[in-house]
Amino acid sequence: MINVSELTDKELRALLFEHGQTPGPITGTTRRVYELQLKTLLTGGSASVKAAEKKKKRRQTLDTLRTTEKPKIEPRRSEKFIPKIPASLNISDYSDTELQELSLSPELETPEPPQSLVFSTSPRPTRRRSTRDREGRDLSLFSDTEEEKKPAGKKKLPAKKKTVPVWQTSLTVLLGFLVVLVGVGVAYFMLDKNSADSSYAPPCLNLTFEMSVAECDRLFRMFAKQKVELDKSSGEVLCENKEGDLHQASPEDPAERQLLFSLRDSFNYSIFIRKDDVFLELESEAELSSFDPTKEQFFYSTNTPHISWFCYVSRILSNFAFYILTSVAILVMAQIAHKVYQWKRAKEKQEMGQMFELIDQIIEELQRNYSKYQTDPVNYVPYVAIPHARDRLLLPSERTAMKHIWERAVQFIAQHESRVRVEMRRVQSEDFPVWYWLEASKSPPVQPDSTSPDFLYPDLDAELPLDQGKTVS
Amino acid sequence: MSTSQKMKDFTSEPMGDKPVKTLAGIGEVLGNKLIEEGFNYAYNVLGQFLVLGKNEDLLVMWLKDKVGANSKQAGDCAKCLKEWCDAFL
Repeated sequence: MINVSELTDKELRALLFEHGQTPGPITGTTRRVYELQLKTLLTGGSASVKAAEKKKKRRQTLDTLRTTEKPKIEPRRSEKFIPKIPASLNISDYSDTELQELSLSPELETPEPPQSLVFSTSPRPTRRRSTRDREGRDLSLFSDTEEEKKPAGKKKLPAKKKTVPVWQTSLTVLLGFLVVLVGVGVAYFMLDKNSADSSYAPPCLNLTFEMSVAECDRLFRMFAKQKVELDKSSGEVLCENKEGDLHQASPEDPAERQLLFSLRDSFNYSIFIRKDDVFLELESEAELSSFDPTKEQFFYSTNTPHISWFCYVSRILSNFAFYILTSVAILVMAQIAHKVYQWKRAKEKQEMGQMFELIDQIIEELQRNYSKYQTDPVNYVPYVAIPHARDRLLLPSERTAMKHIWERAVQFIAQHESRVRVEMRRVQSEDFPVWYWLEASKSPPVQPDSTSPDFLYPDLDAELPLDQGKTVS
Repeated sequence: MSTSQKMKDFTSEPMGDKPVKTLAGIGEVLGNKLIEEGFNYAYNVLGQFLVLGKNEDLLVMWLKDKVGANSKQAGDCAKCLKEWCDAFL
């Protein structure tokens, strides 16, 4: 493999001629390019060549023909050259004219037009087609604007993420809670029903007050019966809307009252009651500290009234209905507020996106105008009237809809764009706010000093009297 | 043949002292890079093109190597110069 950078200029040229090229002078700036060219020609199948070939293949229909043609060409061509040039690379021995002949002759003898090598001076059709796509449209039309535009990603709004709405989850949680409540109530009720049996052993064995066991027993059974009746009547009152009292007055019999009274003092209520079903609650209207059993009035009430499960559940719900409804209402309102907030944010984001898009277009317009002014200072002015820019960038149908966004864009440019200056100018006998594009360049492209007042305000004097004749682009 | 506005503007008249950014395919970024390399004016690039024997492919290679142009940009620039040469040279 020949190291192209070690060749002399003449050798390089000769080799290039060998490969059918017509290199110009090999100078300081061109040497490297020619070295690259020779390298690709020598390797014959480098990636760049293949890529360029593929491009051309796509545009031409002779695909298969090309791929099979390629390997044949080189040996043929080298055959033609070898007899004329000795094996060693002493091409500098040959004079320029001889080398020229060598270069010209293969061109005459190998007139195949579609060369697969990129760097041949092939006839026009090959190269012209490189700028057209398959349908024949000229892609160069899009070349300049592509590089000036900001990447397309900026114009697209970000994809919306799918979030599970909060109200749905909270509602399901609430419903689950209610279901659990109902389930617990039903279970409780079922259990309760099973233990409606009122036969039990009376707890009269460990009395600490004076009463015979038989008497205690008798009383206890009586209380139990009363309890059952009380359950039933309470149930009826609660659920079937019957008139009645949930309480039952205590017995008049002093012995009974005595028993009840002492029970209240000495025992826990629950001793008198079996844990499962019977419950006797003693309520007294009098102060509990009073000890006169003759004056106190006792009431029985039961906590296990016989009510249907439906009634049970509905009572629970009706008692808590208020709380349930308010919490649901709060949740729903919170959801609505959240959604509104999200919608507003999305809208704001969209508007900002549109605003920035518009700002990009405005800046592009100003740059274009400025470059036109640079190339033709006589017929152009370095500023653009703001309303004119708007009318040029927005279609009439868009102007009212985008009015708000336009205003924001103008404001943004005034506040946050250092390369644009706002001024009032008289344009064609009417005052307009205009945008001056301030070109910031590293090295001055045009000779005048870019910071001198003459450069920044070149037409300050010239503009004012002669505005009418100029075009404001 | 349809061409871009920039190319039309460039090839419609002698280039004179037009800055290098007026060349088709040369935008803000590439233009600045060329200016850094010393090619301030379009005629500098033209000079290079002529020295390379008015070979579009070579100019494409040179632009890619020198300032990192992509194929599209370099191709447009080469085409633009070629047309200008055909018209005025």
